Amino acid sequence: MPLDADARHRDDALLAQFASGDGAAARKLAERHAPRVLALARRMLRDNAEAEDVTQETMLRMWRMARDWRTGEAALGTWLHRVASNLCIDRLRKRRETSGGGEAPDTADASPGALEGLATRDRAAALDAALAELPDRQRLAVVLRHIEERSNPEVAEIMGVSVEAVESLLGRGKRALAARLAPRREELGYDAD
Amino acid sequence: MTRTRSDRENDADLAPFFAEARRRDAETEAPSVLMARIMADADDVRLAAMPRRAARRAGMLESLRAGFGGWRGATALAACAVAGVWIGLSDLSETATALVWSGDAGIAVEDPIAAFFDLAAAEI
Repeated sequence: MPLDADARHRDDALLAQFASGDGAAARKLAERHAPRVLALARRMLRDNAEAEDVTQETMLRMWRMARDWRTGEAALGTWLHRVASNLCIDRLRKRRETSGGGEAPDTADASPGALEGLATRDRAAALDAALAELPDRQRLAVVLRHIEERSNPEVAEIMGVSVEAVESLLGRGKRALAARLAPRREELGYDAD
Repeated sequence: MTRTRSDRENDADLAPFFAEARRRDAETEAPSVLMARIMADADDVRLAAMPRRAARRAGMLESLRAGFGGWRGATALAACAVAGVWIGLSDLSETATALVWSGDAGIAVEDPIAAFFDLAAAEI
């Protein structure tokens, strides 16, 4: 969801009101941003409980930094996505360390084997499964750019990398996704070319 | 020969999947239990900041108290103000009886105005 100047002004005003002790402003901020953070965390972590924990932690960090927020310098939504993204990447890293598994290689295997056995024609499930096979940073870049609809510079700011690095991650990620999903377009109800 | 797909072809193939994902995400609602946890955290942070504001208010009251010479001074000033209002509103054509407090004991004084001048004269 692209940001606009009005949305930024509203967020800045609400944050200032909360910092002044306005509890109602907190409710409005939570209703505006918690669902988006939750959606991002669910896509990255594929675990509802962990996604909710990340969402709560992200919002808590927002409450704590409200007094120090400088109006007009940054977009609150971008800041929240950066915090949530970093928390998700940290959790994924710890998950791999705990399980002893490694992250998918940067040159992800293009074979469709992982998608075999899907019992459902659910398009969303197919995309989620394909995203799950991407390396974490490719997945994050694709989700932020094409589902959250952030611009390349915003994605670069959220991920703490250059725009060129984002474009490289997006290119590799989408090539891997297309290799998995393109053969299934007709099966999933999309018109074949 | 292996045909290499262009990025544009990839984008075209992926577009409906992304559109479906955006539609689903737009319908995402945070569960009420999660929202309750988020709002509880907000209240904790907001209330933790309040003692500093309450301390600032207490400091202002302390400054006012010191300006009157303490609470005894402020109490005496208030008593004089009340007495003045009572005198101004009372009907002085008749002798009035005032209850004057001395320590814990209340002493009924008739014609307090005359009593005041008698006391002043006695002091001299």
